Amino acid sequence: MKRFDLAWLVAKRELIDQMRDWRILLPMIILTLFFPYLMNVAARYTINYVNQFGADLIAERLLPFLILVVGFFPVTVSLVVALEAFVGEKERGTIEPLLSSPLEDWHLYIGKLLAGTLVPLTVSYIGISIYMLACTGRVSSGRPGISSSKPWR
Amino acid sequence: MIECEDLTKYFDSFKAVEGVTLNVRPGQVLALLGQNGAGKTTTVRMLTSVLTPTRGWARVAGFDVVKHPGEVRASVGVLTEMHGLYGRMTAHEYLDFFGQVYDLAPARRKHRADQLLEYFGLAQAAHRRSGEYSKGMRQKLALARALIHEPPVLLLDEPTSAMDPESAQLVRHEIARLRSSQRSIIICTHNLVEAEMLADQIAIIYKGRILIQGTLEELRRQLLGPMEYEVKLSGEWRPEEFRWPDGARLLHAGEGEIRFQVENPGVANPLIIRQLIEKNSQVVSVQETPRTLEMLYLKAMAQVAEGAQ
Repeated sequence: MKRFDLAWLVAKRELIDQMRDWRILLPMIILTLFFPYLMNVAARYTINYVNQFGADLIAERLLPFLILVVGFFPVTVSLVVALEAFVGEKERGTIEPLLSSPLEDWHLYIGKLLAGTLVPLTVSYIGISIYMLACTGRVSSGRPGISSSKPWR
Repeated sequence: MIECEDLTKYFDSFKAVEGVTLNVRPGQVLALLGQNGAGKTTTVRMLTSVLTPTRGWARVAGFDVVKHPGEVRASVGVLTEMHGLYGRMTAHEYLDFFGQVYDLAPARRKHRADQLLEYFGLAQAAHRRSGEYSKGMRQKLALARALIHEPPVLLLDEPTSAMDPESAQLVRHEIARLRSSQRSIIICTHNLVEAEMLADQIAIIYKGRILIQGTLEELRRQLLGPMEYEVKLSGEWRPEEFRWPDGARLLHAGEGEIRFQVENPGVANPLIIRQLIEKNSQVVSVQETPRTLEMLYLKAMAQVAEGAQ
């Protein structure tokens, strides 16, 4: 049975499971909504501080670096998801009925890979977008941006 | 149909299963008995194409377990030792998921799920997450999963282990119904009373090898010898005046009772009872000495232990 829909079925089940697990859902919400805001505030204070000493270069590099930080942390959730999807299934014995079913190994791998990457990546991009919006919002509202030597409020 | 010959599985140098030969025809139940770690689960895993045999062959529902693993798995319903439920899914969602895995049409999936949940008394809890279920309810849901696609072959590991007596009886009825609808069933169990009730064939596995295999009657003859009977008497009985027919021998004579063994009870028993009456012994009762599967199992294990010494 070389059908991709079975791999998607596995992924869908995993995704539903993730959306019902507060251990996964809560960090994702925090890392998507709160963490970018926190980074934005941290960036503002840091830039304001280093600008006092005319260290524009640090200010210019800090914002792109924080994009990486904001994007990276939600992606780490994929480790938990992958752990749940493979080791968790073995520990709880839920892998056995799957292995005894017509699902082939690649259905399980692809399905779990999709489930392990889709949500953390989406959450990561949402986090980056929120962070960027917050940054550009400040620039477009007429306030000094990152290249400015004036304080950023 | 389940057939295998010389089925063997080594994990490096450890011999988990060696030379297992089984034949379960449609409409038959085979009880696979043995200690923990005897090789029952490994045998089942080979029969479901989860493990590849080191040696030997097996065919399940007509498909070779090595050459056609997909077809084998589609034809088998497996109840594993650990129930393997997803605690955050409801019973209905869980059965629907496995219905899709087994490629059932949506209407058929719903019908089967409703039917099984109703039968196992889970209809009221169908939309509750299985994580909230009791152990017995989980076991029933796992069994419903094994039956969702109406497989011709069933491999059930401890099907009633966590159930209350009513639920266990329900499951035994279902297994009996499945047998009568020409399914081939293997039950791995430690519940010898249940095995005795359900099984047409019994195989005792020890350290990966089949010790003994056959019908309950064959096993009784092989392990415990000919049939035994017990007669309760109210009068006096003199052994010196008694003539035992061919194939019968006295095992025990006590106060008001005798126990004997006969090769051919149909011929010998009437002769024995007539003699007792003629010699003025008052026969109160005659009954076959119960020889349970537990006795057979323990005898087989004792023989193994004796052989090892």
